[in-house]
Amino acid sequence: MFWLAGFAAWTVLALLGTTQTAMTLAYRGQPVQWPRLLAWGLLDWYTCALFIPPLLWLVRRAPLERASWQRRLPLYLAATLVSAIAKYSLTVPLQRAMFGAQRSLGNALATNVVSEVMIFLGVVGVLHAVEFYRRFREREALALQLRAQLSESQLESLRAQLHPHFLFNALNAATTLVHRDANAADAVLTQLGDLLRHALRSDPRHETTLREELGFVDRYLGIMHVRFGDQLTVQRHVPDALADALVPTFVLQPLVENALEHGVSRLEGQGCVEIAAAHDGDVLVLTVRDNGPGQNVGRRDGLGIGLANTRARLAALYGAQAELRLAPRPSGGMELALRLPLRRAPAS
Amino acid sequence: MTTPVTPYQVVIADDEPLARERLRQLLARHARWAVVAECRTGPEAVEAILAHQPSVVFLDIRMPGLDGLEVAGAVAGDEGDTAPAIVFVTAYDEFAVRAFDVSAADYLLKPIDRERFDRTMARLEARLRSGNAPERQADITTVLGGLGTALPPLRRFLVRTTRGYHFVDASDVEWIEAEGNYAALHAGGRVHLVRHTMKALEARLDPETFVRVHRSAIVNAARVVRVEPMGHGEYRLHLHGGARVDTSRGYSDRVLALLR
Repeated sequence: MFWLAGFAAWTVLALLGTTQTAMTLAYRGQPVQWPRLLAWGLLDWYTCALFIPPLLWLVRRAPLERASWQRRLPLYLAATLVSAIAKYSLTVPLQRAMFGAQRSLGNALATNVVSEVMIFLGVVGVLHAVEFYRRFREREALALQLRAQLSESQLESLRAQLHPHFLFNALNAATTLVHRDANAADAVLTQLGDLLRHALRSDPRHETTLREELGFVDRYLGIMHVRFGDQLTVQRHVPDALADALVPTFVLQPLVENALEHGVSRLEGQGCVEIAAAHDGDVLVLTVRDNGPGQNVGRRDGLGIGLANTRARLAALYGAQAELRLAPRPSGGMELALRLPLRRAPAS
Repeated sequence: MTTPVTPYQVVIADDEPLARERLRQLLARHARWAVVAECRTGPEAVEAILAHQPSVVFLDIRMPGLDGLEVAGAVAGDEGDTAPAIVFVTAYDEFAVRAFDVSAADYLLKPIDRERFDRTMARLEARLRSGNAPERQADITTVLGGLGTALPPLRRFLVRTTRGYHFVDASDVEWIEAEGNYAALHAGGRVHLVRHTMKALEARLDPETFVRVHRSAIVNAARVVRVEPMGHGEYRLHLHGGARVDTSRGYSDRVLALLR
């Protein structure tokens, strides 16, 4: 399509140039031989067109950009000059053969080389415009893709809050408690309500305080405690000084859920989850450790999706400044470590 | 009204205490049923089922050790055995529920609906009275086959020997040979029969490791030491440990993939 449009544009230019010549001849009162004139013009312009692909290649490889144009300008002058000379070395013999023109290469170059170089420089200019437009479109498409990725990962992380498995098991536990301990059933249902309200909030912000995120995790763990009783112990090490640190909304709960689902719940004995926050200079480090079966025992399943989402979200929010690492612990189980820039919520 | 002579025995397996209690609450309203064991893990469930030979087992799908489907596969038993009727219990496993529907297996969804529970128990009672339990046995194999790749890959097999049940790690299995309704696992010079079809095994084993090379053979790719071309797209695989497995033409693509 690009080449076809280029060919058409070039042909129009050739026709216009030929018309110009015809008008000059007519003005001088000389006879206008249209077929010959047209053939001459087309030959002239089409041989010129042969040098556009190498010039385009050069424009793509080494475009004149703000930082580099001074260095690259001589390159373009040389390239256009070489193109002009090459063009005439090709055209002049053809003109002699086809039209019997009495013309030497030296003569043709002497009269035309400057204007030919100008034409080639004009071509270089147009090729730059085309190339920059193409790049602009590509960047635009990439930005669009990134935005889509972000909203997708938000959606996914939202779904993770409402993990249907968690939801239905919690409701099942509540139906049991209703018959035995109305207050306990009451507590499960209100906690579940809180969780749902939080996750279904219509304007999920990108970031929240660690305090709020931990509150959300506490309600989640509250329900897990009811479900699993003393099979599950949770330890928390979060210094008060970090409570107002900013973290991505909903970032912690999927990590804790991952530790429970893929670590502790695979375990036949006691499960223990440890949640810790610390700072390392201006980096906030959140760790979630479990004592599950570790990496060896088929932890590939499910692990991928949840963490991949968290990773995508971290990359969109913090770029290379955040990282999420999953590593086996020497004592068994796994450790998830999330590092992100430490920033604090403005005091309200 | 006659009083039941002996109640039907029930085993409950679920890793959540409240989920087990829920089933007990619901069963309490059915006089003919008695819970003989409650289990928290898959291996515990297998042990209890073998020890008590219950009429019905309520099996949670997600359990530590062995999942509910693996437990069902392990206790499906041989022809003529009195395998228990299995009622799967799940909170949300769409893929499993689809398979249950297709194969008409019994299942309950959490939170468990009382009416549905009662209907299930009535159906089980009727079935036990008429004594046509064997039709259920085939179901489990169908269910497992129908589940396909939706489940995590099978990591180990539960095999029965004269000294009881024990596990064989999938990575120790060199190759698997079809034997009617069974599959023979060749591992470390020993052969173990498990009740699985090739199709079900192919679907449940890690496809990176286990490759179907013949209608009746699956090999552990890590154990292949030599691929000998036999012509016409057929090959002879030499396995670590000396076994030789012939492949068939229909599977030549997958055999060639081994070489990559």
